[in-house]
Amino acid sequence: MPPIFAADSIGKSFGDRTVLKAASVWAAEGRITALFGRNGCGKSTLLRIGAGLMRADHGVVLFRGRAYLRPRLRELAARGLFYLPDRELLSPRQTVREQIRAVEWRFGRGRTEGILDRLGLRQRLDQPAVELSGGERRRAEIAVAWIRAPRCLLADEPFAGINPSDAAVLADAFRELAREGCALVITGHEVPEVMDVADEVVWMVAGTTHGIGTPAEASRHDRFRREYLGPAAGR
Amino acid sequence: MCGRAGTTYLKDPMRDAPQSRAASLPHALRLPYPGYLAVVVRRSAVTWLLVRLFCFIVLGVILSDFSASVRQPTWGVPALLVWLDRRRFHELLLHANLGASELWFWAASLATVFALDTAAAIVLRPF
Repeated sequence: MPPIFAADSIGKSFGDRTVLKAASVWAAEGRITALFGRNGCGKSTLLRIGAGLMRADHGVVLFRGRAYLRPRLRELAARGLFYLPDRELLSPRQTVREQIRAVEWRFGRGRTEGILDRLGLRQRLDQPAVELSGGERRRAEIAVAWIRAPRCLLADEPFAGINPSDAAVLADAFRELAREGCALVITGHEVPEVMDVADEVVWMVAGTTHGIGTPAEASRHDRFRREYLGPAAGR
Repeated sequence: MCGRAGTTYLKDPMRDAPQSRAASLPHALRLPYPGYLAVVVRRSAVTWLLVRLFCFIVLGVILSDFSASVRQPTWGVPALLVWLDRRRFHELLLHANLGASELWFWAASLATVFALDTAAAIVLRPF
């Protein structure tokens, strides 16, 4: 199954510190790729490079049949990529409704009502983003991405710091996006949540990445269990 | 089309481009959402006012310097505003995700500042 998005053989150093040596991540239509790795190993850097927000020292980004040596987010976004950062995406002082209007202004409003219902955001539309809880804000960010109907969604730690019920809503949204044909890459340390939605697992270690198969195969992967999941995984 | 077994994908015309002809011009120009552009202009105007008041109070009243540097347009304020807008990068990210060029925001900030500076210069000329 050919991926529609790939950040391939990416290298990146910050001064003397090499974060990425030859790291790759990819996503195919209708599938969810989970990217795991320890804190500070370069997952966010790899996603940011893949989204065109940071320049790689070497490597290439491939998106929908086109190769980009110096990708820019607005170019990739115009072709269907959406990057969801680990920190806030929405303007804190603007209402959720106003920010959804920005997406509708560009891409039409055919999907909005159904998505707002599914994400339980109707009661929060007229509140500024700064007044939302962490989980509500995350749901609003997913709503914005979903209304855009992306071809590929790169989500950096979407499950971080939210309660289990919000995490379940987000997981459903990711599955639905995949059912619609979107290719997703998700990072995070919330192993049960991320494994639950993933079709494929990529593990980043020592500046490079290893495709270790489906979540079931990954949880049987000896080194991944030992070095990332830790002793609790075997219990 | 490949994907999950048994998956049927929705054929969604919104995915690649705006649907209406009216919406295609902003798309081609990579224009940001006008509502957010208005926010940028408003913030630029407020920042301009604060910087001008600061200059007036510090240089004018405290240092008793009402020379041209206080009254005439300078590059300092636009540079500060551009820097401040750059600090709001996470907000611009949403609009980059919608395919808008961030140059529009810098242009809006600079245009606001130049317009206000010019207006202030004209108003203060008799003094």
